[in-house]
Amino acid sequence: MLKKRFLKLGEFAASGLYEEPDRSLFYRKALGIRRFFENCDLAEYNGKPLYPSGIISQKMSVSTGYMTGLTFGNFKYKESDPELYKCLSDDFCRYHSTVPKDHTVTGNMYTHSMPNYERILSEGLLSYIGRIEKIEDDDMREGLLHVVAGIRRYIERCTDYLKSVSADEKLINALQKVPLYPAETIYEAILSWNFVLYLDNCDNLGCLANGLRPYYNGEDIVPLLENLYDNLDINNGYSMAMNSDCPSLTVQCLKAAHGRRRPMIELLVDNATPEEVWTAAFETIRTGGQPAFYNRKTLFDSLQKRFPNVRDEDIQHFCGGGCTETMFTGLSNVGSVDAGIHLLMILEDILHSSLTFESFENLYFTFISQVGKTADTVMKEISNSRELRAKYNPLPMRTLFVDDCIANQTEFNAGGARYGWSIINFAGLINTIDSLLSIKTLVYDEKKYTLKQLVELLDKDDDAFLRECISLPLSYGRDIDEVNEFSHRLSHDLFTMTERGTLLFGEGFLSASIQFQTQAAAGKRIGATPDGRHKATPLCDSLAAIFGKDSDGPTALLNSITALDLKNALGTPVVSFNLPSQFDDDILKALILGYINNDGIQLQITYASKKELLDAYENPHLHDNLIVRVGGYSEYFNRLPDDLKRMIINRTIQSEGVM
Amino acid sequence: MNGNILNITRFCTDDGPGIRTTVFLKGCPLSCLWCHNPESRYQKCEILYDAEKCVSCTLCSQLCKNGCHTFNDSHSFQKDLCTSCGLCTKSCPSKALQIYGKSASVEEVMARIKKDAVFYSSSGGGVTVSGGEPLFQADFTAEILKKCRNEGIHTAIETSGFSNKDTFLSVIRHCDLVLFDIKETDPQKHIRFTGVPSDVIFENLALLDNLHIPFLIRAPIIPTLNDREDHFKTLRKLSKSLQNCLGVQIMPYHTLGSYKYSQLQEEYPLSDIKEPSKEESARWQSYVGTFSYK
Repeated sequence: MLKKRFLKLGEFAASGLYEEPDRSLFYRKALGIRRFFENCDLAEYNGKPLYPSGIISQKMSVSTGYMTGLTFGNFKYKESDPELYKCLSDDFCRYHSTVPKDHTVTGNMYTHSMPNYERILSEGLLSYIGRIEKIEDDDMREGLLHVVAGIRRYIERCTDYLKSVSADEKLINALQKVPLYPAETIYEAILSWNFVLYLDNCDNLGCLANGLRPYYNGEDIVPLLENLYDNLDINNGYSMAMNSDCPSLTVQCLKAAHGRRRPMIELLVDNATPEEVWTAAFETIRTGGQPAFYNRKTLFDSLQKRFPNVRDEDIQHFCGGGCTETMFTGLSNVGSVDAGIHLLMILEDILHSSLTFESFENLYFTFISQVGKTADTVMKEISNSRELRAKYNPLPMRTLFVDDCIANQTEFNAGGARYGWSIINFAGLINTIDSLLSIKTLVYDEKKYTLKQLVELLDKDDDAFLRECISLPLSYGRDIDEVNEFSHRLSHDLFTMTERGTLLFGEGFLSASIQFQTQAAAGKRIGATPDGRHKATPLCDSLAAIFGKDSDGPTALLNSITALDLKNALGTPVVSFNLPSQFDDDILKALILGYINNDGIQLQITYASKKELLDAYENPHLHDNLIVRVGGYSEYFNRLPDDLKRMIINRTIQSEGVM
Repeated sequence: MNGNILNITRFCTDDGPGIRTTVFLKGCPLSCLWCHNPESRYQKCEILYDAEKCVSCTLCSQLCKNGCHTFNDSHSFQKDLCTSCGLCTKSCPSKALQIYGKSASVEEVMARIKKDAVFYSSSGGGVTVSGGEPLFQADFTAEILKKCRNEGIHTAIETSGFSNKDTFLSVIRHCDLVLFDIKETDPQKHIRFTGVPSDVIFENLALLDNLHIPFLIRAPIIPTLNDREDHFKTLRKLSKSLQNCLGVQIMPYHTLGSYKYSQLQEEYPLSDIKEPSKEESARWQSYVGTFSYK
């Protein structure tokens, strides 16, 4: 009955969910996915070398989505047929996160992942059938076979359509081969990659350069890559990672990113990175494109220390998915980001409590203890949510695409992937460092205020007091030894909290400092803070200094950052830098190399002067293409909410010879 | 050993190759008319007073033991009574009063210098001792340079070259690079513009070249004073005749430091002179040739 009702509405995917209602959720979703692919609208052919390209509009409102397998939130008939929606909701929307809402800054059981593109390219999707047929569980086996059948039919429909519109023969021939069969040429490889990206709802590109390398013979592939990147960008996909083991390929991948918001490219660098790669990277950033720099050695060594089961060959699959959450392409299920502990909210609660603190150490200890309790609760609820997710939100497509789900005969959300961890953001770390130092200086060292008086001034959002806090000599960003010791201690105490959590279906937890856009909303929920932050204003955007306190120049700032316990924040510790566009490339390279030689892990750059940013704020129509780095990802400046625009304008523009 | 320093600036990229830390010393034997760091001329600490920032809170007059600060219609600061104790600068809420110069040990300076060691290494940078005039505190300068070299840090000084030969030698033997200022090539004009004769400077320049220490000639060019063809010609000839000269770097006149004169309660001697255009500066540079730090 329900099946027919959905069919009548043209909701083929939803009808598939009710063809065999007594089967498991996994099976039903898999069949729904099959019906989706058998009936979905196809992308319009627009002459591009890759197909699909652009946005594919769907008449069906229940369609595929990487977080839930099939998405139900946009069901068109919610109001006209509430009973139908209730059935969908009762059957397929029972999963809810139990992570405490206050501590979901940046994420609440969000997840990114990437298919094992390389395997699909080298083996072809049809080869997966042999492996699927070995699965003992009927629902899982038959469900995955449905998904493959659906994809197969989808590809047939695409090629029939392309023939009907007299599309390029080369494209048609290639699509009749990939992704079902192995790729052999670079064109087939990129076409296959693109196709799988669309099957995965354009989440991330993974380790593109590494994956294309076996098929690359020095061809000019920039136009193909531009097409691929545009597809990712227009569908709001995120990132890709690469090293420079094949410099000419890396350079082409960078070139193709000129002027493009996405992908955010994670460029793994070290002292041996060739000059041509550096040049290409800086050129790309100048055009608005988005490579960020990652310390290959420290990141990989630290990750293998944190999770000793990570194999050397697998760590080469590193890719920061989403905003730059650490994961392995095609091999991992990563909570990115599962939760975000609102540090300033906890501090605010402590300051407003009836507790008294005879010494700064007492206050510090209470703060750490409270954060610890919150972290323990959050980690427990993450595991609980994972259990619920495994029960109520199976993901057939990711089970198909991510190893070792098929080999382990285990669904993706139930721990099938080779690796799994959960990333927890510690939001407002720099605000917290400066706030605690302010309290130490003003209340306990100089005894200028009592704690009560300080809290009263904060509650009043007192401007003069906040300016006083900003001008205090002991603050983060100027490479002051006493501050570095404190910031290391605090970051170590916080970031290592995640080591004690036990994660269901995974190795464990990783700490991070990634804000996405959430620093604004998180700031709105709390009052003024002793770092000088006004009430309801955004938290720190990254691990760079705040409120212009980094007045001793970029080397002092970078030293302050590397004083933090970054090796325990591998989820990633994001650092945003603003530079004027005429900044010397050799000096920038030296800054980055110095930073990574000091075990800095990540650095992302926006080239924009204060003048340009202010002009973009006043005259957005003149700056349509201005792309900035914010909170771990890249976005058009014009698309940001007002408070984030102002936050970026107020970032220090690092320049030379600061006194 | 202690010395009087003006400031230690990190991340300098114009005082030698790569990323550098520049140690600015206080005190200089010259009195260049165009000096843009007038607070560096005297070795002793000095108070600079910015009338525009003053909010007339009168805290300084309450703290000062020498009666330097009085308030009638406005704040008056009597510099000649000042002993530079610095009490008023610590209390000034608007930073209208600031103290320039402080005593620092070689160890303190080195601690600051070593912070950027990783960046010197990645950029081919190092340390530059400037001023003021580093030869004015020769022992202090030499000690810093020696210690830097022991740490494998590239060393440079920026100097006017005005000192006796022994003092000059005692410092430059610890240098990997010298930035040597030539303010004026005409001897008479040199005295008029800088207050000191130039003969000892050129003797030291020749000595430097004989020691095979690479050096760059830095030539401040001041419109209407030394922007003359004969001066440029001499500079070019000089750079070509010296074996270890890395070229001549033109330093175009600017007025960025002129506001400091009023804060020191002095008159800026070149208030009528305009900054040269970029095209003019480029023309001067092309006349004397190219330069590099290596």
